[in-house]
Amino acid sequence: MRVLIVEDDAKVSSFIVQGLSEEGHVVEVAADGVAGLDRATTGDFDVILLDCMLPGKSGVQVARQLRAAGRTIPILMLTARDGAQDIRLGLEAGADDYLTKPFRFNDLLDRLDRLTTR
Amino acid sequence: MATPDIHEPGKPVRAAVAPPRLKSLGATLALRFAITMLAALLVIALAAFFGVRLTLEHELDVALGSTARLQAGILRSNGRLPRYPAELELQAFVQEVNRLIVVRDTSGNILAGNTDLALDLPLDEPRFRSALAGDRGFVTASWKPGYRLRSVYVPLPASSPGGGAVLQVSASLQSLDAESRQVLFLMLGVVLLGTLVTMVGAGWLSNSSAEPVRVITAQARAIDPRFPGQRITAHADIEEFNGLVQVLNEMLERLERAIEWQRRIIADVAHDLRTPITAMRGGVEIALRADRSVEEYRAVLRSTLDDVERLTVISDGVLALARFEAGDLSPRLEAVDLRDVARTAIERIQAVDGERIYELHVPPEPVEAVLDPRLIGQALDQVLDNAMRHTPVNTRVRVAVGHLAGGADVSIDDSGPGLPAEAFPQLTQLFFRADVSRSRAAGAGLGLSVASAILQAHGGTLAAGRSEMGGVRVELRGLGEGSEK
Repeated sequence: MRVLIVEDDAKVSSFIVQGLSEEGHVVEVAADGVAGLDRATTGDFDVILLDCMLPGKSGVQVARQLRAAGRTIPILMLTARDGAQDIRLGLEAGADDYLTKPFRFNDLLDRLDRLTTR
Repeated sequence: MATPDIHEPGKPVRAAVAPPRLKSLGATLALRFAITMLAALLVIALAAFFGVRLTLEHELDVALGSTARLQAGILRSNGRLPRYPAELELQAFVQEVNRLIVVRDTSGNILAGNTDLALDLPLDEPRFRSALAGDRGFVTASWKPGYRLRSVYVPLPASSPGGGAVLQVSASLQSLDAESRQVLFLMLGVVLLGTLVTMVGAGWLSNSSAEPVRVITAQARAIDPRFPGQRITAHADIEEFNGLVQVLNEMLERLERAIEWQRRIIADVAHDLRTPITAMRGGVEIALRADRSVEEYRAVLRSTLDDVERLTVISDGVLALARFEAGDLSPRLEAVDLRDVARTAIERIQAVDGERIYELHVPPEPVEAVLDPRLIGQALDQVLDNAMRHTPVNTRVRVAVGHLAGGADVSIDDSGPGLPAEAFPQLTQLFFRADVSRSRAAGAGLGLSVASAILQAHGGTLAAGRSEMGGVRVELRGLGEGSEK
């Protein structure tokens, strides 16, 4: 599958990229919210992995704008806080699921599988 | 062999200490007031008693005097005293007539009396003598058991019929004593009753004056530290309690701020820990999913080492904050050139981050300051680290040193996306310990709190605002003049 990763931390995105690539997925990275929204709108992806805390435009804003634009692509939020507030905001903004950092890579794969085979 | 110290379940290790018995202010006040009142009433009662007694005695003297004058006149005209029937007993005579009158000759012998009962009246030598000399005199003397007499001795003219020289008129003090005893009992009754009433009144008064304290205590006790913003409202409009309520509320506010600050620090630490841990965990996990080349393993180890560095910075920061909170963050001051401190900080961040452009703007001459270069270096590390993590790659971060506009000693500007405008007024004051409660939204992270704590330990402040470069500007202030602390 084709995965868009919107994540500002290069080290986090790089291991996800490596792991997903080795699983045979096609991966693209956007390092901030603006670029992420742009790629999500113009590109062709099966799922978006969206970090909550992003410079420029937060993950919540990106999700909201994507949904407002009528895009139904599955969104998996990555949050660094497990505060109920962040998760609620993300899900309300249109995210389909969330994963709290730090996470196990297999959990990430499971969530992505579940989201894309609905 | 010593007996092993075994603690039996259910049996207290140490005997419970009885709580100290509390003194009641109300009861103490009531008691003191009642004692004061008792003393005052006693004085008043005694004064009244003696006053009444003196008045009665004076009146008796006046009466005795006039009786004496009257009888002397009668004597002069017919040479005889009126006589009462002899069958009257002394007690009855005293109650009905209470005037014992005798005529004495010059040697004190009784010539005649108004009753036979009076014929053994005692003689008071000094008054008798002065009466012989022509002066009237009063005296109190005992007579028969139970009888005290008040007597007046008056001289009779030499030509008195019957040869009398001195007229003695006596009256028993029985009724006067009885009257004044009545007055005394009445007075003591008033004193007792007055004291009782005072005690009850004082108890009620002191109770009601302590009532607000009870209400305030109850309100304070009901305040739950988990829900901030609760304040004591009871009796704040009463002058005497306004101060207490205000002090308690101010204390609550300080405690809330402290709790809020610590909550935020804990949240920030948890948040800041997640990114390096995520990277470490992910990197190692991915590396272990397949066989890798030595070079690939090396890369993972290097990356992990970087993350461990970050964790070290975070734990250093937490340690600095804990020391600051304990009042134990004491700078080891020395005279330094602030340019060097900034230069080495930039070198450190450049060693970690080769993807952003770090610029240093310094004046040609040294910028002297007295500070702890290690701590201020740590503060700069935290601010630069913050800038690095919140700005995209290939952007500029500018550090300027010197006496800058606005009184800053060091400024750090970035050209990142910045923060929403509404975050700035909060962010500017975010770092002041006292104002943290207003800073929830800023999400500045742990680093700026650490830097702020270090600056405050130096007597300076950390401020933030919008940068002319588009991002955030953080300023280190007060390092020059506040450093003598």
